[in-house]
Amino acid sequence: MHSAIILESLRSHWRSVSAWCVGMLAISAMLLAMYPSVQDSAANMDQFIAQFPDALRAMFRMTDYSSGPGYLSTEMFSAMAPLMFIAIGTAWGSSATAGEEDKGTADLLFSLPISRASVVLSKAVAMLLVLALVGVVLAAGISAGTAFVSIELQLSNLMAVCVATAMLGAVFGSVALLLGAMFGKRSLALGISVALAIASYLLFSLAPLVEWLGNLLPYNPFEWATGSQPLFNGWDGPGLIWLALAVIVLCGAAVAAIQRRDFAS
Amino acid sequence: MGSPGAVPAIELADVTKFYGRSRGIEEVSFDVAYGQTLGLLGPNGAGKTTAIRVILGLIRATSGSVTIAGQVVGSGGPALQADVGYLPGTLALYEHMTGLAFLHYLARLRQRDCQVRINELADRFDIDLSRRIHDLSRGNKQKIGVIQAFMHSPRALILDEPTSGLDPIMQHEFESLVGEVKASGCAVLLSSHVMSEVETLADRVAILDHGRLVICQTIQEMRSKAVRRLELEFPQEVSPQDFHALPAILHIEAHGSILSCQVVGDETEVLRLAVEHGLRSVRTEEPSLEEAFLALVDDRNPDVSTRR
Repeated sequence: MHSAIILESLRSHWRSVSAWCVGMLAISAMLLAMYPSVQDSAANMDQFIAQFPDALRAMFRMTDYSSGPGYLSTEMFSAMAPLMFIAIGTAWGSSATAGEEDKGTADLLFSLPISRASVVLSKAVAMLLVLALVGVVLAAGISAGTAFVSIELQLSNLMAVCVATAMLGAVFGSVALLLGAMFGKRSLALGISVALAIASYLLFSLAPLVEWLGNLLPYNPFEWATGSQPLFNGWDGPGLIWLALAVIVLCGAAVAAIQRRDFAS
Repeated sequence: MGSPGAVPAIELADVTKFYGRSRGIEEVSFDVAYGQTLGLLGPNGAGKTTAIRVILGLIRATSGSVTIAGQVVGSGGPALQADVGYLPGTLALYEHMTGLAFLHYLARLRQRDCQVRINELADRFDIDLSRRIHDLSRGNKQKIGVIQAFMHSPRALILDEPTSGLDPIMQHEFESLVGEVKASGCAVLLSSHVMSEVETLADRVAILDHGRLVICQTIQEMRSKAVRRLELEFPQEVSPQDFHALPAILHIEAHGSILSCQVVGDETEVLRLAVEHGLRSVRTEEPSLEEAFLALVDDRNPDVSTRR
């Protein structure tokens, strides 16, 4: 691994990284600002939601909607935050080595006395650091925000859901990294990894409705990350282990894939 | 100088590479010794860049072996590239960086301190390294490409179309820089379309055509194989008939007391016979490398097309 590559990746993208952080904070602030109104109409709201078909409630994992964790879990962590972390992960993963190849800078980079593996791993580490940073910002933002709008939220549960969601982004980011290492095309890596993420999300959200989809859940990264409702139930050890294993295996495959590559001129 | 005895800086032995839709190279062999410059010539798509990319380990040879300083590329790990400088033919830099930040970044990845040499080269090529690369002209970007190839004082340099975009003054500066590093024992592989540049810098020339090595020899040897014009002046009229039989003569015609002929190869016999006829003076034009190159590649192409 090469610290210079990690630092340079972070430095050259600090604008987009800050934009993601600001975006996360803005969405959290917006959701939290609306919570008091939701709470005020809690009785109505719960009644209203009780009228939803079971299927719909199951799809959006609406447990105890008017409670603080229930509200955040539904509005923030069922779709919004996972998709944002996936967007960050796939953007970074796809531009890792494939971005260098697309820009034509791969020629110089890979003719230097550094191994291909260390380039891939350094880029992977940069991606993980960015996801971690945005995750910390999100957790800090929500936890600071709850002070203003009286939400009962266990800090440990909040951290658990942020870590799990950021790692979900890392899984699909690693898919993009692998595809980029295999084919050297950024748009292809981005397109396929995003499509896979959306497919996984659909399979996850439809699973409560379609029986045979339920059988696929144990293989779905969304299930590993959010299936256990960490905002209610805290850290989900096995889920996190599956996520971490997926990241390790995918990055390992990316290292193997790039060794065999012929870089097109 | 070449301390590891006779081990060449760069050596290709029967290297074949097929890949994708692009034409590769077939059984190409050449070497570059320390302190020597090899010019790599050939029409577009002849495989020059493929050969260069195989040496750098950017693509892997299908068969044959590539060695740098006697070590097989790909087996010794990336450390092998530490003493190699590379200027790509299609140069892409990190546009958002300043020239200096870019050079420092590469130096850090090479784990070398190149500050002194960077300053020296920047002065020499008259470039402002504090500007963002994005804002630089093509020629100035090329200068940064040149600096990054030379800044770590490599033992072997691989230069692909190095002077494209440089103005004539900078081209001259570049030529003297290559001369200096060559004199200090650096091996230089120079791929270029600028014949005069190859003629000035190269000791030997390798010509690739359709992925095969046509020829690899010194510039003098190459010239001798090119068609040259010879004008022989005699005190009296001489019949061209007498010269027709000589193998070196391709074409001959008389203009009064002057015979003008096209010759190829060894011209000793022509001159001997001319002296017997009382030769008064000789005028000859040294064939340019370009003529020699064109003669070789033209000769070859009909041959290639009939084989298909």
